[in-house]
Amino acid sequence: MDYCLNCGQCLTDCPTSVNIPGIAILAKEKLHEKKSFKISEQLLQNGKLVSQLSSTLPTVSNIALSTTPIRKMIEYSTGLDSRRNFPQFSKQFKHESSKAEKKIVLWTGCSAQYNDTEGELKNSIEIFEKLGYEVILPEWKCCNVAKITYGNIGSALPDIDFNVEVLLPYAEKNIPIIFTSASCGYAFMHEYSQFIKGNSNLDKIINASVDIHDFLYSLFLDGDFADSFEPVNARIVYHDPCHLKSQNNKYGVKDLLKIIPGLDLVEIDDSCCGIAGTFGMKKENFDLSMKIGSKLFTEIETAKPEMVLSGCGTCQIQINQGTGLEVIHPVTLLNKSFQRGI
Amino acid sequence: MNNKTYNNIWQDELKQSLGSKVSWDVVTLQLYSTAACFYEISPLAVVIPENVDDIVNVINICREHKVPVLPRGAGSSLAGNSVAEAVVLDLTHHFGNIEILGDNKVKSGVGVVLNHLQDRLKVDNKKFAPDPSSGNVCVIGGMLGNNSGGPHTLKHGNMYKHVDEVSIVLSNGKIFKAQNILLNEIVKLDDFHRPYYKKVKSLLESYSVSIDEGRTFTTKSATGYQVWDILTDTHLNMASLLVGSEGTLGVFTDAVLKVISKSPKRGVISFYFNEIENMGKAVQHLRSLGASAIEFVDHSFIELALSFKPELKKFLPEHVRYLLYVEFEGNSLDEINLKFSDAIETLINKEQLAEVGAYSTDEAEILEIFKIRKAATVILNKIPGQEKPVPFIEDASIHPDIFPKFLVDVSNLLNKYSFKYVVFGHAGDGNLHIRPLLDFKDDKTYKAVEEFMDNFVELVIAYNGSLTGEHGDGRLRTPYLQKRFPKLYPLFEEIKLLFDPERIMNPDIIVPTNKYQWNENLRYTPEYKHTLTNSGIDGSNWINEIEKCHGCGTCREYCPVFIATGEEEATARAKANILEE
Repeated sequence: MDYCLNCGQCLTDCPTSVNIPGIAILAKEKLHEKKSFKISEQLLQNGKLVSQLSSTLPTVSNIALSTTPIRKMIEYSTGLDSRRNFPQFSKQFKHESSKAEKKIVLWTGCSAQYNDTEGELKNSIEIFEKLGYEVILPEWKCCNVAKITYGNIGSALPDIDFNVEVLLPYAEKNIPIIFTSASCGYAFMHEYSQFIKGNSNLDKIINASVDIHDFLYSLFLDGDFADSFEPVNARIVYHDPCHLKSQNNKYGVKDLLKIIPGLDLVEIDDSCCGIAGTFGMKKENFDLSMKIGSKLFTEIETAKPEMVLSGCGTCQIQINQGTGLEVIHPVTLLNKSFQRGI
Repeated sequence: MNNKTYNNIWQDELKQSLGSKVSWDVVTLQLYSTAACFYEISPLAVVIPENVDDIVNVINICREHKVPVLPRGAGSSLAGNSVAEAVVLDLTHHFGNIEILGDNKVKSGVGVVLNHLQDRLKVDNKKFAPDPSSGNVCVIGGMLGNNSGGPHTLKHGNMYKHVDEVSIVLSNGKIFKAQNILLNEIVKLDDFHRPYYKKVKSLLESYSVSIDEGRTFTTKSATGYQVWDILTDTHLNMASLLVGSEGTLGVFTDAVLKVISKSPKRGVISFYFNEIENMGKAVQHLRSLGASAIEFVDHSFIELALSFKPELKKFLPEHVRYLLYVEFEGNSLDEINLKFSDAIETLINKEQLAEVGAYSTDEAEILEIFKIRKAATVILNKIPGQEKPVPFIEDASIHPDIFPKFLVDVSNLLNKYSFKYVVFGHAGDGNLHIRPLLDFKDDKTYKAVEEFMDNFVELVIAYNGSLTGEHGDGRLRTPYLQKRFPKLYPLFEEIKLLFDPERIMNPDIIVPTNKYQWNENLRYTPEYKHTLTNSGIDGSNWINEIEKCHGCGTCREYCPVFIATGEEEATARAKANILEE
């Protein structure tokens, strides 16, 4: 059962669309009634807490994570593989948007909040502000996709309840909740409703939830972007994260990227990057995780791009580790291209 | 099946000889207890052999202790060909070599996935002709075992026509090379091979009348041992004889396959019919016009597609009851367009049999044309509720000249039992894939099906058809083989005894050691009950999810973990299999 990474591929590719990830999660839940989680699993299930702590003193964390003896110690004591590149932790970032008629709630996951504040977080905020939106950044708790994947549904509930309370007033005012992270979006739009039944407040939030690429592209189709795009002359490859693919969104991210003039988007035979959220961080899975990703790495290397785009923090880590290329969030690039005075 | 007990010495010996390559923990046994079929039988052990020596060792130990052995490929067979109370050899981990031999031949290990072979051949603009729809997961070993076909069997014939040489480990532990050889070269064979060739030749000669008389009136068949057309005035084709033996004569390790050049161009044209008789006549004309594939769906299939996807209505007029998709291959677009106009001239203008639908020589447009067909196959497997498309009369083939009449008779039979069903298949070969929608857990249905099956078999025999065109006999049709081939059955027995005198190789199939009924060892019967686990999975919607998995094995193509590890336990169907228990 541990081999099911909850990538959601069955939801799109299985001829009978059997919800294998769902049944595997429930089976894991049952299995862990008797068997407790390993230290690595406990750490990885609480990624937000760990990230939050690490980013209070980002310099110290970053030096520690790039120092081999310390990493060996971490590996020994926790089971997190010392070869695994970890993202740099950024200083925590606060922002307040000016009031506007049009509002969105921006749900930025751990990756945007603690690692890629300069990229994913700031650019997502900026692009909406350029479009005339007031960006609301509520205090949130982890979406708990990792806990759910490990079958630890019970302990995910308090955080989910907390988030429901925070988000409910917005959902009730029909303010869209926009997800920059593929996995947080997957948790809200796919996972919760499977395991939590009869919570009408949660259902309201799920209904208000939209993936950022999907939302932006529908704005583009409505003509909201007008024609103010600067060319970006770069050769890039786009990797679709598993948790975005299985969201059943209306539009593809590539549609959105094709808006950017000058962009050379090289088509590849895309496949799983192998990290599967926290799976590839564990010592026992590191090699398998890199092996799963090897097909994608070869595809990317053959395409010889300057950088890779992908809207998932852990895919970014893995592809960077596998190819050495810079991997950024698509919205980061889109915002660079989109010019409108703030 | 009889509950035979075996002493445990064989287990010790297997462990000693193969170490971690053999396992019999409950989880592994459960994973290999099913395939894409609706049977479920726990194997005795599972071995992942790394090389031919491992296979020989397993066979020697098993022969010594009279323990059955079952070679297995991707487990994508539908008729129970790859589940048995036996030591299962999973040959898909290794045996993956592809060696291009030149002269339009390729040597392939039995573990090679068909599409991987095709990808390799594509580089040289070649292809392997048999093309089952499971090509994304099925392996060469399974295709050899089942004498596989596909839409292009119409033009190229089943698997046995495309095999030049097969290596097989026999139950005596020796490696036998089966070839197509000149009769006068039999005497030159070594002392090990010669007696087999001589014996087969003399058997085929002494049964020659029965072989001729027992020939089915079909253009495509994968039933019994392949005893037809292998002994000519000049040659004995031992390789073809072994194709379709479903693991009952030994374990294939590799084969020399014949490859063909890809046609430079192709085009697809569709025709709409209101009357089945007209479709039947059209198929005859299209065959003589040299179509490379003639596929059909009937109104049940069309209705199913439209009920779930009304937007497809624009692709066809409302009154259509039968739809033919016809493919022509050629060297140039002109050549294909000429064939299109020939077909239209004959079917529409001259004979007034049909309406012409969409046609194209553009690959993207061809995909559009196939939309209804594709949508329905997907929808078929997603029908909500307890009634599922059950593959138990799924592969009969009747000569294309008479199959429309057969189709009418089958429809009447299905209606008599009030079974809902859908029909599609390879019209050019009269090969029908009929899927009644049934719930085998329902007592009344289960009993009705038992009677229905006997009637269906009678009907196929009355048309002198084959019970299987391309899927093989398996546990589904083996019980009817003696009735189907009364005069040839003794020959099948003799062939079995020649190659496997100890009867340890897949002993339930084709010539079973012990008689049984087709509906024994089914996964779902009225007695089936989900064992409560006291977990979230006990919810009826989750049980439905688990039971929805019919084990087709497509997850072997897309599951990222399976792709990397090649282990059955990594697949999605493995999860459903374990939880189904």
